[in-house]
Amino acid sequence: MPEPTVVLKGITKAFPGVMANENVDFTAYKGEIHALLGENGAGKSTLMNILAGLYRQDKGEMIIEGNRVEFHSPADAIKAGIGMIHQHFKLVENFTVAENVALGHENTRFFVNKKNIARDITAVAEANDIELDMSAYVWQLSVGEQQRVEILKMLYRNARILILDEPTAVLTPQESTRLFDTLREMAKNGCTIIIITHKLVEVCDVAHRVTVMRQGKLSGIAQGEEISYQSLTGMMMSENIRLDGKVPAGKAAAAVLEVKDLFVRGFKGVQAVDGLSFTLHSGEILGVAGVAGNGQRELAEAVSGIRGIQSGQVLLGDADVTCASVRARIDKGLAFVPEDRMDTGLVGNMNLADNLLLRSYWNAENNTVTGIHYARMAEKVDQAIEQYEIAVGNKKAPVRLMSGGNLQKVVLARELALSPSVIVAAYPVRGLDIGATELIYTLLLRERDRGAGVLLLSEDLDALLKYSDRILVLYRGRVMGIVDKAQARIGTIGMMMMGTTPEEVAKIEAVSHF
Amino acid sequence: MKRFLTFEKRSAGTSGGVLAIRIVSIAFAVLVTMLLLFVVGKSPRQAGSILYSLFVQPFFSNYGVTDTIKAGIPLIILSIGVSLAFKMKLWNIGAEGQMAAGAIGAAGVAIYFPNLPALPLVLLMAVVSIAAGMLWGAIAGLPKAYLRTNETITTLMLNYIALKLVHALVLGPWRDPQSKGFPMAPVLPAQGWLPSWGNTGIHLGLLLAVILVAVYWFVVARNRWGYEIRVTGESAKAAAYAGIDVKKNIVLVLVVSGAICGLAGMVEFAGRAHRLDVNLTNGMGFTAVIIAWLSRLNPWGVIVMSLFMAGLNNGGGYAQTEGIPSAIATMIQGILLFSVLGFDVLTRYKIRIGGVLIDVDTFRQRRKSKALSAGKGRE
Repeated sequence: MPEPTVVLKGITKAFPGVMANENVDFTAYKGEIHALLGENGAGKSTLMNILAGLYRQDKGEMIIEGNRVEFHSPADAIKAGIGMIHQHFKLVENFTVAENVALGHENTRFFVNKKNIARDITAVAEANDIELDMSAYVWQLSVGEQQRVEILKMLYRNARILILDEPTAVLTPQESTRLFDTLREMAKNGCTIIIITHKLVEVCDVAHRVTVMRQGKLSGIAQGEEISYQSLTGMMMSENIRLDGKVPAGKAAAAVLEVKDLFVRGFKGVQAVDGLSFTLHSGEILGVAGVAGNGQRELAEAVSGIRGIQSGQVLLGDADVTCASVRARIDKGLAFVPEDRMDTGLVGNMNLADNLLLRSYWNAENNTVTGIHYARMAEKVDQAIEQYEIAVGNKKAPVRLMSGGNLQKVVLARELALSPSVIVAAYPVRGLDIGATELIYTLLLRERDRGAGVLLLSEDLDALLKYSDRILVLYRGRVMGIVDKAQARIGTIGMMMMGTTPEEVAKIEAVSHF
Repeated sequence: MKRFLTFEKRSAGTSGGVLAIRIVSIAFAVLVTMLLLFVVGKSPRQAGSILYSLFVQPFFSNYGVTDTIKAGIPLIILSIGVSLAFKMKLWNIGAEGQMAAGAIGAAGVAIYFPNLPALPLVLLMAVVSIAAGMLWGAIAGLPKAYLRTNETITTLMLNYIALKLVHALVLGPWRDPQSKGFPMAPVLPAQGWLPSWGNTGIHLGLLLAVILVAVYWFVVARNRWGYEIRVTGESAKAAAYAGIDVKKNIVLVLVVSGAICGLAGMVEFAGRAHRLDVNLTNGMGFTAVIIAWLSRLNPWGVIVMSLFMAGLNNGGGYAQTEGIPSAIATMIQGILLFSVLGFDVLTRYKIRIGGVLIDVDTFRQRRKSKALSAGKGRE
């Protein structure tokens, strides 16, 4: 048995109203990839944030490489050789790779010797097989490359224990594979790698050992042969929810949303949507696949009226809503579940009633002569809590205190309340645990069967293949192709996502008997 | 690795300890003030009477309280105007100028229509002052909404324009021929004075201020427009998602905020000053910014903080009669404000100095448990 590098004993951390970690033990060894698995709100991130010095435990002790430690800040953790890579990267866009890596390093003083630093960084990168152009600016890099910068940054700080929070959430399948290769290499070199995740597939694929958490407590440890879908699912969830199983196809009927020749500019004037046309029918889920940043956000925002368009046409049923306001579109039956749950979909500092009002506060039924009908809203809050099983401590408390799954339930409770004919759902299950994910998809399927058309944007190809009736592949703001569920295969769609046309895909597949 | 001084964010935010913190902060300011007074050579006895006139007289003597209320009236109205804009995260620091514009409007009515009967005169002054305040708000609001100018800068600059306009008017066309050369406009004809209560000088403006506070509360907490303001203030993205017309609201909120501050100018003019001069606004528009901040945009807090600031200001005046220079009085006010704002950190953070934890809730719990065990002992 190799030596343990991280030993956490009896870690306890309470937040107001929640026991985030309760007496959790955790051990990770030198040279292993260790997956920390659990549903959202299971306390994985809290535990790792404590290890990385961002939070302080209320109780319990930490032993790093044999020494008892106490962290007062992330800087202390870095000194002890622990580096954490967060889901949202902390890089300076206008700095080069080398500058970002050097930034904040203790050897970087007032006068910067760029040459020496670049040489040192390059050496570290080569030793760990990390391929990066040191003089490239971060804004020029893909998400996968930016992640490599973060990893390099930690290695340059002599991190021997590397924590990655949901590292594949923003990567394409190809980039994920590459990341795992890098991580394996680093583990072989003696690093301890801890990945926080809730994706079982990845865990089974790369992890040497798995620690599973449930509701703030340790729920099980598995290693080697014991790591399997079934065993881990059992440990993760209080009740077994079926992961597989076929979804019956929808019955597509009349067109409910038509987009014709849509052109939309994105951030910094980039041509984000570049001549896009499609039709969404009542009773179908049209999945939208694509690598992040290929126009999905702009498409969703343009359809829902939040973002202005350059040219094109948007029809909701028979009505031309190309120039209609957000409100007019809502009143005509368009629901939108935005990508950014916390800052767009909900107002964190407001309570449930105010958040349920967000997209219908002007409706007569929500208003009295003088003001908003808060008595009626209180009833609606109770209804939503019951119907969508929203776990909530204090109904008057700001919603930012709720967990991700519950937040998304609030968004859906609001958006579905008006029986919409079109639902634009942008990454509706991102960051959610299996239980909440299943519930959200069940709700979308129910809406589909009721007769709504659902435009489902997702980065999870498995889910898209499972739930969509058709899949539209976006590449650089254009439609690469629309594939029927029956013909859709993950490999095909993956290639189309990288810019291969369906015809070319067919040729390649014919040659390689793929 | 241990640091001497650390700040930990309080997870639960503020609790019931706010009042305790305020009291401690005032006590701390009193302590520092005493030190200052000893440094400038006051005996303990003199220091005592100075402290009395600074902190006790304005709030506990008959004369002081009436004075405090009179000075508090315009502050309440201005702070409500400022709070409305702050609620939407529009940093209107132009209350001073909007108030001056309102006062100019009211004074103009008095100068050009001096023979109007009481009610029409007062109403016309109110309408014109509101219009002037609206104009001042709109000059900042329109470019903010449509050209994305920075309202902090524009409202600040508009202050100086309005104040210099007052200067120009009272030195030039509106100068009172009987003022013996002093730069002031003629006195408002007596029928235009706001009715006051007995001989206290507390005038109708108080009622108006209280009504405004109630209306502000209702609009922000209960009304549909207030809902839009709150959502926009919290998150511009959520506002767009909710289909809120943010541009329209930027203009509207700054115009209404300006209107309220303009009205404050008329209230001060017709209720207390009774003539336009360069000291009419007297920095009250800036004080209102501090009040709005200290009261956390809470309408009832605005009343309390307005009276507090008004009393503090008056106390500085009383203290001067005790023989300290006005500069020292101003310094003492500064110390108090600094202390109140500084201790405010405790409502949001736990502080650890060396091994000592400073945390309001811990103190309160300890006191509670002490009280509990003391109670048990008696049994």
